[in-house]
Amino acid sequence: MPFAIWLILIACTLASFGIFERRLLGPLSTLVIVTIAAVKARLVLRHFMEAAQAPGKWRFLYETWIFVAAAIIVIGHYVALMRVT
Amino acid sequence: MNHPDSAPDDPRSPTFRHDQQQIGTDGLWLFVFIDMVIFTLIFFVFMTERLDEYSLFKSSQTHLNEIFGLCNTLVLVTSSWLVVEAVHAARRGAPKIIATRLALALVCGLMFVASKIIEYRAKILLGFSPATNPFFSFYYFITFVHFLHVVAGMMFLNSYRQRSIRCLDSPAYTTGLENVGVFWHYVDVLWIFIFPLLYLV
Repeated sequence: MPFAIWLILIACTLASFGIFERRLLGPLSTLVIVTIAAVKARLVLRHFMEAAQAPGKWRFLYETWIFVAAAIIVIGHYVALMRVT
Repeated sequence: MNHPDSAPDDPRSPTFRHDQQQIGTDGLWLFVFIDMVIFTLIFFVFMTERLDEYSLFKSSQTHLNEIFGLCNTLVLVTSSWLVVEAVHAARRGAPKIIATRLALALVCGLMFVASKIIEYRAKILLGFSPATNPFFSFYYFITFVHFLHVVAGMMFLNSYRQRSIRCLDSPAYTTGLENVGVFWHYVDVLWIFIFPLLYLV
């Protein structure tokens, strides 16, 4: 099971790198790349840290953190883009 | 008092963890959460500064080599997986598997350290120092603080690798290794965000 999660994480990493290198999605690429990062972080939290077996408050706080960290990058990026254009 | 159902509440007791269906200790989860909050503030300040100097940040970013960031991610994700395997081996009492998995995870850590040193050296030789501009101040600050986390994690991993035989007689060893695992996975998660933040976005 951890091996399958590892494979998914590697695949996600390569996918977001491919999106970046080939400029596949234009202005949407930031949203997609950061969303993939958040999904990866959540996979690590749930399957590697085994957060389901930690007290519920930690799982809640860590999942919230993942969302907030991703939101800061995405919102900050698109606000900057709107200012430039 | 030796009956498993009447284990004491004292967290120092060797029977303590059997009552607690949880990973690691509360103290470690709290420590990592505080660290997370600090990094959130750093991310926030970075993105705020980037708003005001968008073109400077974008042009500076093109001088980073994203291949380093990609390799760092792959290496840390792989080492995280190896540490999970070590924790599972500790629960079933297999010290040899713990030792080999932690040794391989340490090799990944060393690869990360080597890659960071090569990357820093290349940047310095090209004339990009922490004093060059705000982007490079953030780049060096964020990656170096993360680098220190990696080094600290490696010291914990090595200490548990050396004592892997203790998994047979000490439940505290397994709890401790779980703590090390949570910290190491957190170092991995941090990089999962730092990589797009500095290199890709």
